[in-house]
Amino acid sequence: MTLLSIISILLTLGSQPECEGFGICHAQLYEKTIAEECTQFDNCIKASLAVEENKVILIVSQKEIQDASFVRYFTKEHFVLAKDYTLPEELCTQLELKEGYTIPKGKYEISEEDGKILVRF
Amino acid sequence: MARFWCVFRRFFFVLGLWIASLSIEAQNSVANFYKKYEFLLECPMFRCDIEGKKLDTNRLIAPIGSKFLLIEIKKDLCIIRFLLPSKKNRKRRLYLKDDDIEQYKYFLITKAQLDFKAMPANTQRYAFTLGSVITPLKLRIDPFDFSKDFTMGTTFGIRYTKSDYAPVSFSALLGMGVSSVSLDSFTTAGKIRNRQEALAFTPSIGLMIEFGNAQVGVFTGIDMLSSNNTNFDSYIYKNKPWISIGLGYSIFSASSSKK
Repeated sequence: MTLLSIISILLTLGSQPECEGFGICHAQLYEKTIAEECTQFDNCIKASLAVEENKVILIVSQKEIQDASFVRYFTKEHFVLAKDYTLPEELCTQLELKEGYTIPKGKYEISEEDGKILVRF
Repeated sequence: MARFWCVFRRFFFVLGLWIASLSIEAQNSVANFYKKYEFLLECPMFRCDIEGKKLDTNRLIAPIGSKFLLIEIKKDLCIIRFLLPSKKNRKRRLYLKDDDIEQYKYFLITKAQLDFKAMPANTQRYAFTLGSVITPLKLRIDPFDFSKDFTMGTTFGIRYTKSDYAPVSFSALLGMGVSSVSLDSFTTAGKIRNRQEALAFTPSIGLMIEFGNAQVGVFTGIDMLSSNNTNFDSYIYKNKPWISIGLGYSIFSASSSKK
């Protein structure tokens, strides 16, 4: 399986608007200056997004993620998206997705591949 | 007398196979559950490296339902890492490149926490199963009849376990066994007058539900008399299937013992 493009992102986990609970609160393209500030919070992680057969895949390295976030969000069989999440325009453009691409709320299977954590939405 | 000993030897041969199959099932169960656990309660833990050296003093809480591998036990401490399903289908793999040397996060829990807050986990929903089933009663159709022609033998197939918490599993089984078949005037179309017992080879298929150590299922099969049997051609149920309730009992159960 070949991925056409993988982009690095900063992902804030939790549900909007307060970024509490489970889900995706905020996602943006990775920028080092923003990352230094964002990753001071447990629920902000560096991750990657890719598209495979028109489905978005979240890729997380165990080395990049803080222990608390790893334990809270990625140690069970499913990643819980408590609310629908609409990808920002800049991410849709980078991933060649239609503007306003929305990941519906639900439970998505977490899998592991070569030590990376994968969630196929 | 010679025929009696022949039947006697066959019976014990089948009995031996049955006991051997149960032993294999026990070994298989131990291998499947070795070192895999699931937290039943929240469990405090600390981040460590693969050798158990504590990396952080922050206490973390392992969530209920998370599964983990027991990497090593050092005195009263256990090194664990969380277990996520791997994609076994190669076509679905992404083949990611990763330069990380240490790809996994390891954690320390106490041996007491392991004993009281975790249980062996079944991460394989589907598993090969090998066991034994007895069908004590058979319903025959065309013409309708029922008999106590019991079959005992080895079964094998695929077992599906829905949940680790509910001790229920379903199996699709193929079986081979030896049956005791009653031959009389009715079943031989009047060829013999006195009732006789004969051995038959019995292939069967069935579906079984297992709850704890108890197993019950529905089976169908064919009793095949030996071609040397003088009543081979006159047996009215030759190549005709029977239906039966199958009973089994698992002496060894992986879910019942804590490793």
